[in-house]
Amino acid sequence: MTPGIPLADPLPLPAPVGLLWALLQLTFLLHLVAMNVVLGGSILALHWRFSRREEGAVHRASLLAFFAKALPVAIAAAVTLGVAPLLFVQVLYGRLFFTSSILMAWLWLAIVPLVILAYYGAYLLAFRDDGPGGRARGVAALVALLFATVAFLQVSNATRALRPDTFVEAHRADRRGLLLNLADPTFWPRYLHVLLGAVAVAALGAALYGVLRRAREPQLAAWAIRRGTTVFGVATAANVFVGMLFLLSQPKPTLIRLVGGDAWAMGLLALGIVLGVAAAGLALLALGAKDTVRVTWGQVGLLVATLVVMVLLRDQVRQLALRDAGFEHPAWVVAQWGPFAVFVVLLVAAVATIAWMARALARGTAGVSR
Amino acid sequence: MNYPVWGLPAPGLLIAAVAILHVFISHFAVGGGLFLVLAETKARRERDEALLAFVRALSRGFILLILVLGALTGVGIWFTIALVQPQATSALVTVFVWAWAIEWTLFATEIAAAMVYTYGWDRLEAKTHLRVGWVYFVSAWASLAVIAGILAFMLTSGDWVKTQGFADGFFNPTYLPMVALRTAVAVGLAGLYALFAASFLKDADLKARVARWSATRWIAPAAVLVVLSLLWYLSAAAGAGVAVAETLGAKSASPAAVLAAVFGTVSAGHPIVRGAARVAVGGAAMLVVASLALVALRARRYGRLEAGLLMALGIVSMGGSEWVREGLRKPWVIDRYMFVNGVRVPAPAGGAGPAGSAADDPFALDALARRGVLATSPWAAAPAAWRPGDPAFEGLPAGERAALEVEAGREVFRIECAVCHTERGHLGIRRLVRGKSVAVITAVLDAAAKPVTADGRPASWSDPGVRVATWLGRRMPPFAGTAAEKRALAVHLARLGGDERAGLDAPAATSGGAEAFERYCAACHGPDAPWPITDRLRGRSAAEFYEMIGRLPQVREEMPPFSGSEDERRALAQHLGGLAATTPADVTPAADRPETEEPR
Repeated sequence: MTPGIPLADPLPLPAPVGLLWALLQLTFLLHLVAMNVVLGGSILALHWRFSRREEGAVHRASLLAFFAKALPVAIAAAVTLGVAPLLFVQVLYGRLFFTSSILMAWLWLAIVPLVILAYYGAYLLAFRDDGPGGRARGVAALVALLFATVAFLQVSNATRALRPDTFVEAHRADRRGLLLNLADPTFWPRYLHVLLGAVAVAALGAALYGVLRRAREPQLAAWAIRRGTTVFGVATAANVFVGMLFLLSQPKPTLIRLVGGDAWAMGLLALGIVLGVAAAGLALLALGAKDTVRVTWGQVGLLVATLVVMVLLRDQVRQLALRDAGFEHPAWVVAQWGPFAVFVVLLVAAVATIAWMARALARGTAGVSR
Repeated sequence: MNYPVWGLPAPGLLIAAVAILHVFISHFAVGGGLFLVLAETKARRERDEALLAFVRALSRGFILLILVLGALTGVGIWFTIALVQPQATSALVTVFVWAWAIEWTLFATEIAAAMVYTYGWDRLEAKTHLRVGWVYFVSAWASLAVIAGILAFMLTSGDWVKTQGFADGFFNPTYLPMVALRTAVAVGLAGLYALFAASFLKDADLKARVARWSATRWIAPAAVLVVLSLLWYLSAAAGAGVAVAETLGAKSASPAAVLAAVFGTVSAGHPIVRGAARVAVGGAAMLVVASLALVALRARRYGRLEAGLLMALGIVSMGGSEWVREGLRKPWVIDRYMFVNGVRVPAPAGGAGPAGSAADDPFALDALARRGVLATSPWAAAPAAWRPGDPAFEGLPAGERAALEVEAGREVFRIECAVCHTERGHLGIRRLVRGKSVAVITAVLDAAAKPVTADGRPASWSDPGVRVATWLGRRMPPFAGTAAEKRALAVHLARLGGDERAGLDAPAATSGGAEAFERYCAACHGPDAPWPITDRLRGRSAAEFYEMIGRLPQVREEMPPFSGSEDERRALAQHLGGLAATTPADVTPAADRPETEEPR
């Protein structure tokens, strides 16, 4: 085992590794969707706020107003859905994750105040939006910058956690907790991949908003679908290219396994590329399509499939890297099925309660409470 | 030491800062939820439109506080403990992953309900709106009840050390009192929050109504409940082996003794924890009295300044009480399992787990004593030439050898001590070791913590019922490492304390008595120590000293029994008798020393 990997606790794992792994992938996928809406949405909204195009200015303003109201909710979802994968990653990979976090301690901790600041900025836009221009532009720029910085720090930690062979040397070089992992060849391609992916997801979200509003505001809907689809297509096409760069930046042993040494990893990679190309292609076709609604739903389906594949592929890259580093999960498992059952029951109850509340809110009509 | 050590001085303070802020807000989140639904119910039942409008405005500020600061400081605690106490965090996450997961479902429900409640004022039927409010409160309170299990586990791990069973750890001896105490605090803070929010009101009638309701129905009853549940909590903690009396310097863990110790001038106990207890109890008492006085005298006229001061008192008092809880837990980070510096107790023979798993724990006390901290931790950077026992090292000139020892000792300090001690700031080590010799420091390291049974007899660290007897109630963990590492640490600390020749001199050519004094007595009775021996000689003879050394705990109960050999006892008695003969018998203790109690 690589010397920098801390030893496992002399405690049994509370569940089979497979179960913890599945929960990590599932909850991370949910967090990823919400996080992409927040990050990509903030960047896209910023672009639209600064856009001077006359065409669609009214719709742009409507969409921005909607996004300003929706952003705090999306942040709440991203934070809440981020807690669960944070928990499961600590159980399974805490030995790497804690270490990589400590190496960038101050910067890692900075994520908390940065998100708090961005969150209050989002509320400022939601409660006191004075239109697409003015002070709101400054606040929106700050919010987007803060979220992009948070993603930057996350990528630094995630890439470092895959390189336990650099832990000890990095710690000797700097114990202040100020180390970023910028020298890692995968860093910049990965960060760019994250940013473009987020913009693509948020753009498709805008198109979906158009689909859902088409009965009430057909013109706004048509504009949102067209603009959303265009941005989605361009960002996804660009991301297929950046994804290739990301792939080529992988350490050689990982790269070899991804392109032929490991059937499952290779299959996921191929599927990911095909899905990405298909999504970008469908978006370009959609610009001339008559039934934009059906095409948008088709893209949503492709996007969800792509995200699932990307989450699994991301996990494969981790497993390949860690296998080379000699990382193994402890074999000692004493499953706590009773507490797990309570968790499952409460999870179902939570989903049902949240669904009930959301439905009540969506169906509610103005003024009944007073 | 299994993980890298972040070079932040006294990182525990960072945890405290983030945790106190989060605890303050999260208790608001619980109590405030109850306040909102009960106030809304009251307003609707009494058709009080002004009150309803107030509750509505309150709910908006509430989500800005809860969703953003509450949720994010909670994540902040996760981040902080993982950076400062990764070893303990890893253990807690492994043992209680399903408790955290359960808490997450409640947290998600709480966040969603808070938003629906706030956004739903105009969109939901009154009945549905209230139901959502109840969903919020119940999930927030249940979330508190889950976290309390883990926090209480850290203080009193119950039978978990024997069984490693989830339920044994979660439903531990201080679990229920902690839930009761935190619930009562949450209710009180809800009243405080309403009092604060009402200070913004221009309508004097409404302000007075809200203020009176908050003070008489929320703050005052909560104060009574807090006192009762606190007594329950302390009694349960003491019953489970927490050194409540020792840490607070009290004769016993009874409420009267604890209060007397906290507000009295006793010499024992942990000074910082006692200070924190004064802040907590005093602040809370002032808060309750001031709130009631404010409502009685200025209910219609009080402003933001007065309300803000009450809030400040609330956070100060809460900070003090969290500090006391942390202080009571020390030197453990997880009761009878792991010390604050990440060192674990050795696994009991035949303990749970596959063959060799726990028994081979390299970060347990016994293994570290064999292999050494510096050799075990991959994050230590001991000088390569520091090789105790190796003729090449032992044959080095004294200066070079001492320099290497200082370097190695600095590294031991960084890995083992720096989680609590800074060099010059909080628990600054320079101040603590000022003027101390290598022998005195070694004696303190030896005496820092010893495993004892409930009735004070020597025990083994792996005994499930083990308790910790710490030096003067300072709540330090035992030294973990080899004898050479202990020596290196002592040399490094003695140098920090101003002894320029530490590590250079061969043992001084003094009588065995002076050496024995350095080794067994000087930590407390040396010239710069709290109770200098020169103040206590009183012209006694060597024979009298010989007799007293045989019954030290009877001379003063804080003193440990003499643990040296018979020869050392004789030599020590001779040495003290000689000192007494040359020192005036009527020496008056220095006035600027607070701890001046005389031996009986």
